[in-house]
Amino acid sequence: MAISMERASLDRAGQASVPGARQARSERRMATMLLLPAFAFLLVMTIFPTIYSLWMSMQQYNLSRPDLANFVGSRNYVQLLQDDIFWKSVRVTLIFSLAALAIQFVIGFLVANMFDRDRRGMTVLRTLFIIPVFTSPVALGLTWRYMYQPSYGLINHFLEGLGLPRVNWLASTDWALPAVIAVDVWQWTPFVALILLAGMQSISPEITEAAELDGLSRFQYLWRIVLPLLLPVIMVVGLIRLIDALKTFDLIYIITRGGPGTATYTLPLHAYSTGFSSFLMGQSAAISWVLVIIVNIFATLFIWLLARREE
Amino acid sequence: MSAASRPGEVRGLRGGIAGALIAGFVLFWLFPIYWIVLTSFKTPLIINEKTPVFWFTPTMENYRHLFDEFAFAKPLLNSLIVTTATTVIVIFLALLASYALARMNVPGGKHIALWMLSLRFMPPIAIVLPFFIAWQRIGIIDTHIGLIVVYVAFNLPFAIWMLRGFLVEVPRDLDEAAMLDGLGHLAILRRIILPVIAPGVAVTAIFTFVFAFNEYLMALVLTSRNASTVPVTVSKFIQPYSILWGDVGASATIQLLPILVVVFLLQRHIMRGITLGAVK
Repeated sequence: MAISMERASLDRAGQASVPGARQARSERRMATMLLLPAFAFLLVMTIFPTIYSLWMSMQQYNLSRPDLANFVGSRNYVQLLQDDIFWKSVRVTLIFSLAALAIQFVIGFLVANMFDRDRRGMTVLRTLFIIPVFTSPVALGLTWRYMYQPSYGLINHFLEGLGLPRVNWLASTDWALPAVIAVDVWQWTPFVALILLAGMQSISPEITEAAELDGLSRFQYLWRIVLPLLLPVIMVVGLIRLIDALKTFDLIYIITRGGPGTATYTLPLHAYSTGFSSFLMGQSAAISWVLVIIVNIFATLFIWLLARREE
Repeated sequence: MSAASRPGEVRGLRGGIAGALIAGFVLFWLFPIYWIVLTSFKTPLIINEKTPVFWFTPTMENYRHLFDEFAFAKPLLNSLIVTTATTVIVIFLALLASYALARMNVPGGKHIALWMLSLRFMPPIAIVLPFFIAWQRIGIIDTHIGLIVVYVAFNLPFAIWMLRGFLVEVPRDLDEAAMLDGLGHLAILRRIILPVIAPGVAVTAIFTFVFAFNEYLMALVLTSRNASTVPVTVSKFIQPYSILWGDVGASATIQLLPILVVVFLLQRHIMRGITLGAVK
């Protein structure tokens, strides 16, 4: 950055170093050419849907009668804020995301600590452990639905073996949300754990040795040394996971369709059903925009953190 | 990568037991995958058995049903076409852009990189509705192209960011020496840089491929009959009064296999890819 400015000012001043200036100019032209296809494409692909959906959110637009569309200004938003189901789905979205995030970090931290040792075979185990991250949410959601099945599902079978009562997981307003959270935890804990592990392994040996000399127990070492050192990593990964959880659609849609009632009805599901089941496109766009705003708060924080670290 | 010893770390026999416990934990965690693969080889009778069955005579019936009744070959082909095209285009565009961002003086380059990364956070549900209406008007709804264009837009930011991370790590002397030899930027990228970051490109390609292959919401909205992908087809196994678990198992297994192979072939690099940007 600084160098290019310097070169630019040299350029303008018409200094004697003509070959250098010409080279800088041709390099900038080259850089623009390389960057332009991706940049222009992304610009078009974001500006168009952003403006279109913002405009749509101020319309009364029924997909089955597009000819009757008309501008209603902020009415969709006002209606939304008075709508009970909307607030319920905001609540479910936040509970789903925050609970999943918290559990993933607690288990992830313990697992990372478990992996953080010098033993042969750890690499293979780590590789096996990452597999859930790459599995398809649709296939995964159905797999878990099979295991949650009340009469022949595996989970109830084991509960019964332990002398515990059977639960109709996905039909219960109390258990459906925890059941869905568990699947998200299953899929994403490995991701969190392996990133924390990489952080743990980048802690310099001197620090570890000093801790060992001081006679710290494993717990003290984790609590007083590892956790503070990992805080920047935890922030970044936490925000990535939080944002992805807020956007989650496929997993929940496949497992419960948002039910029973509104027990697992998150904002993405609300926006989808409003748009593609009730055909109220204006309302659906307004719901999406609320989600965009919530996501953007955390995304801005994330970018800010990253920009500071890049300095 | 081997970790230095940690306070309170156990060795010898007790260390061996700890290792076995870790292995047990990982296998327990992966149990759902084992279970669904097992299910794919069961007859419907065994699947609906009240007591879960672990030992049985395997059958290929579910796979036959999947391809005969659901014509699974077509969505599989659709998925492969869309996913491969997406990956190729994304990697091509991302290589050029990330090279410029990582190794050339682009005015405002840092801001452009961060802006691109921020696009990764856009909720698909907010984007899919405008594209649904626009694609209908243009006439590319339910086509490969329609889905590919959206998938490229969704994967490009992350791919650029990831490749940029790999590129920043290549020592600068390498291109400077090449430049003194009179090589242009494109030649440097192709002949000097690309061989060095090949694992990084492979990992980025895999992340793109897996994302596009697994994506559900946009495929659900933007395709219907002709271009519908594997996840969309699989979600139709949920029928009003039952779920076709045998077909679910078979299709899940088919989706899982290529991923398992690739993850193991590139295991070390995948770890790098996953931690990239988060730890550095």
